[in-house]
Amino acid sequence: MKRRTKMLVTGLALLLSQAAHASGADLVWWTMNWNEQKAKDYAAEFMKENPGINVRVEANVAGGLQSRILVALQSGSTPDLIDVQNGANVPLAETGKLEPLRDRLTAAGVKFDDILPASLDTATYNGQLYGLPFQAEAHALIYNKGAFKEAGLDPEKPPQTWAEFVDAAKKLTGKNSKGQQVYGYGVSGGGADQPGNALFRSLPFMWMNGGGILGPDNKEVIINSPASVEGVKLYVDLFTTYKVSPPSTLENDSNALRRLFQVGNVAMIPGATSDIERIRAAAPDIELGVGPLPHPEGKDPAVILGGWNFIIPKDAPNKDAAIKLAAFMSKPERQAVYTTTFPAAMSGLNDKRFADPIMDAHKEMLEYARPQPTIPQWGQIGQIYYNHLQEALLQSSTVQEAMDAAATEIKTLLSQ
Amino acid sequence: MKDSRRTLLISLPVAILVIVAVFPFLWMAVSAFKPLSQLYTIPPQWLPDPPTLANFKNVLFESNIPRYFVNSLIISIGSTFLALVFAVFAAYGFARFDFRGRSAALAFVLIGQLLPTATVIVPLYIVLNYLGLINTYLGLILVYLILTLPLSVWMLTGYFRGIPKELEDAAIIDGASQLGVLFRISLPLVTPGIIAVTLYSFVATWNEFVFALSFATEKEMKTLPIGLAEFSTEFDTDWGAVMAASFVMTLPIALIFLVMQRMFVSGLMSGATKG
Amino acid sequence: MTLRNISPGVWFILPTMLLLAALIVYPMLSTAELSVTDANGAFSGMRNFNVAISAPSTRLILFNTAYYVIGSVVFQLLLGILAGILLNQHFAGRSLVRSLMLIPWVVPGIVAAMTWAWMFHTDYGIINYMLMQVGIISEPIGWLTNPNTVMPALIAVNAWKMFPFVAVMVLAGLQSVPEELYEAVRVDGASFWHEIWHIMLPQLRPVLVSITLLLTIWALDGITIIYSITGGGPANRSMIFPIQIYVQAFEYFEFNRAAALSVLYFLFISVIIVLYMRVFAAQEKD
Repeated sequence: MKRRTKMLVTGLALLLSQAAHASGADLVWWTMNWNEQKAKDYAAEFMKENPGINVRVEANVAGGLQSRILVALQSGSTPDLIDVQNGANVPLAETGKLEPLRDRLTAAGVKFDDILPASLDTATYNGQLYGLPFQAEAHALIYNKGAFKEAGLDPEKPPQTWAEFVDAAKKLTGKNSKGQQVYGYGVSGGGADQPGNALFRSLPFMWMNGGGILGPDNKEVIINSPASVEGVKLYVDLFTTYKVSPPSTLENDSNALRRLFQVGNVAMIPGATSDIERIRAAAPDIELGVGPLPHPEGKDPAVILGGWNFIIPKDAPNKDAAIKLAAFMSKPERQAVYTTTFPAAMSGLNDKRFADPIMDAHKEMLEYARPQPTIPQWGQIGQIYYNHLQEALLQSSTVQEAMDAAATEIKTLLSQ
Repeated sequence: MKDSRRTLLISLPVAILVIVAVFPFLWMAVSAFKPLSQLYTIPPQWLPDPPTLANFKNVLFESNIPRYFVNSLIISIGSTFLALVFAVFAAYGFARFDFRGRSAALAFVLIGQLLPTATVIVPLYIVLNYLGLINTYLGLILVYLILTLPLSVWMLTGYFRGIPKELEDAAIIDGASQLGVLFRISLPLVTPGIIAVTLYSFVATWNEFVFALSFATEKEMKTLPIGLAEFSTEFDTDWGAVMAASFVMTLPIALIFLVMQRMFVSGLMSGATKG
Repeated sequence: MTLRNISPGVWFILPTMLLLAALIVYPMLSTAELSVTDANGAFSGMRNFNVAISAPSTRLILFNTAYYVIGSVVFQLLLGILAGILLNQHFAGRSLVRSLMLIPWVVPGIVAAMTWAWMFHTDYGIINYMLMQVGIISEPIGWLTNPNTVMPALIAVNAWKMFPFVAVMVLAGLQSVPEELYEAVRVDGASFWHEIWHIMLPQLRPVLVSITLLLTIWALDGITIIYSITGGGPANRSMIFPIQIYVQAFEYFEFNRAAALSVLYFLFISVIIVLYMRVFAAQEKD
């Protein structure tokens, strides 16, 4: 009786541990779940061109992505090629677990002069290139033309300057002819996808005004300089003083803002081209307009560059093949298909997928896009800034006080 | 007269509790039948008009959920069963014997729960990788024992203690072995406790996300919570599908419990008569 | 010294102890090592601890953590015991009600959190809508944005999520209360309250002692609800210790600091457990 149980247990264990085991010779490519099919198609094409290499595609999910990559990097048993958001590229490089790529990719035929320079900056750390950008995007101002008409604004003329923007937001705010409450602009001040959402929407206000969180060399802290504070103050005032942002501002991440836009509750939101697609799917009745982000009179717009890069871990078992695959995917026509927004290789923008004129403002904003500061502490700096931004939105301190406090904390952090 | 007061005393709070417990789930369930344009409205819309089955079709026929359902089932059953076997012996040992280091050992059982998930995950990955158990059912089943064993041991210890020692002593005087007492006398008496602990282990493993995310990277091994995350893209979440999938994940457990109810009422009386 | 001198209890617990040791000893040692080294593996003494503790928000976060844990455990226990006792009574549809009551616990944590965030939303949430329809409030309440309501709201979600677990455990405990005990007091015409106070709760004691400790540990390690509803905001008003550890490790990539925080956390809970077991063991002997 006892022996039979024992055999059963051993047998079961054997069976369970046998299941689904991959051979170490396969090149493993971690793509994202929304790109899984495209990645598989390209992998098949790649294997046809390179008969000796077997590519296995595994799909990651956005939730917990960084932790999953980090667990693999830290433990030393890694995949060979990984898709990462460009904001995570430098912090991952800083762990020392990524392979420098510039020379080997150049040798493999990658044309770096076609890739958006700001995108390459997101992958550069200590003068070395640790990633190959394949997707680039920037926000533009998405607005509801119907609401513009209701408010007596010209729907073909989105606000250009800050003054026009505040004016338009005020006019848009109020009850519309159906008795529905409308707010002019959606400030992102809370929710789950933070601090990223608030940073992407508020940092440009500082940048356009000549300010920022860190100075050009990423060493000086300028978050409480007059130019920066003025920019943040406008962002905060939209909610606290002008009251053109909805009461839920402190719990709205980008998803919540888009939902409010879709039901006509908010008339202007910043967003990427992918937001246009989603709004059209959920609220086909809304007539969409898109313009560049408004800027201070006489100054240029600015915006954070978003996007994705390929990285190759230092411990990857099939580095040479991974380089080949990355070079294969760097071709503009492939990026044009693989991206969910714009390709990082600029000639890929000529693809007919990007011909719709509604994307023009987004293409224009790409020219003003800057990478987030590429220093390893950036994640923490963003969180510190975000906490104090929320203090200002809660009106528990003035914008100046909040940014002063943030500056002190950031300085301490940088000196550690 | 007194009976009707008692009925009211019971049914009113029961009704309130049921509403509190179920309302968010109903809100989820209703949303699963809504098309995208009706999910977020101001004011909120109570019922879908017209209801759509598109979300369920998506979940059942176009997503990985069915495959992950099977994986989750294997892993949850495996882990629950293993935890139960180990825990019954350990709990009986803790409840019925006094030995040196007993308290320390009982505290040690909890140790796996005392380190935050964030810090154990990398070393656990290294352990599993060393054993060749990444991307295997057995790997996740073992790791889940860290979640399920401590509770199972502690709760069953409590339930075993609740049994009058005299019952067991009588059997031992009759010449039964220690194991015989455990299986023939004590175990039947704690059936409700076993069911409660089984339910706990099953639910805990069924819904676990972080370990599954890190230790099962291939489609053949992924579990349902990962499947839920797959309805999200970089910028959006398909809420209708998530709600429909959650519905599919939640209902089976509630149904199983409904069926298991009969075992739940055994208790001391039936056990005592057998003894 | 022969094997026979060893208490049979040791043999009963040995397999579990070995299994847990195999799984957890390496992670523990590795965490301890990380906590006293820097990113390059060089010994750094107490530096990680100092940096981790000196963050300006530490006091607020400690307060929030205590608030969240105590609030959650108290309401989980109250609701759970109440539900367990009620579900043990005889009434029509009892099996169905028992199953329905399980639902909050069975719903995947992330989905429950997102659903509550949605229901609590100031502008499109169903809770404000209902309250305004009934006329209880005239203006929408910012449940998750007001520093005074955010913690109670999150505690409510956590209590909702875990009270069915307590109910099931209590229900199982009540099954082993001999019917004669009830009959004895009913002959004397004792009230329902009397039954609860003098029969059910004393009988449930060992079970409740374990549950309370486990709930405390889980509340201390449970990040899903807060992390996916507010992310600790607004302005750290709902930030708790375990989220801080997760963020240090996986968003700031500061594994050493996260390890230092974990060691502190581990010591803290260990003290709680030891104290708890002392008190519990002392009472047991009375």
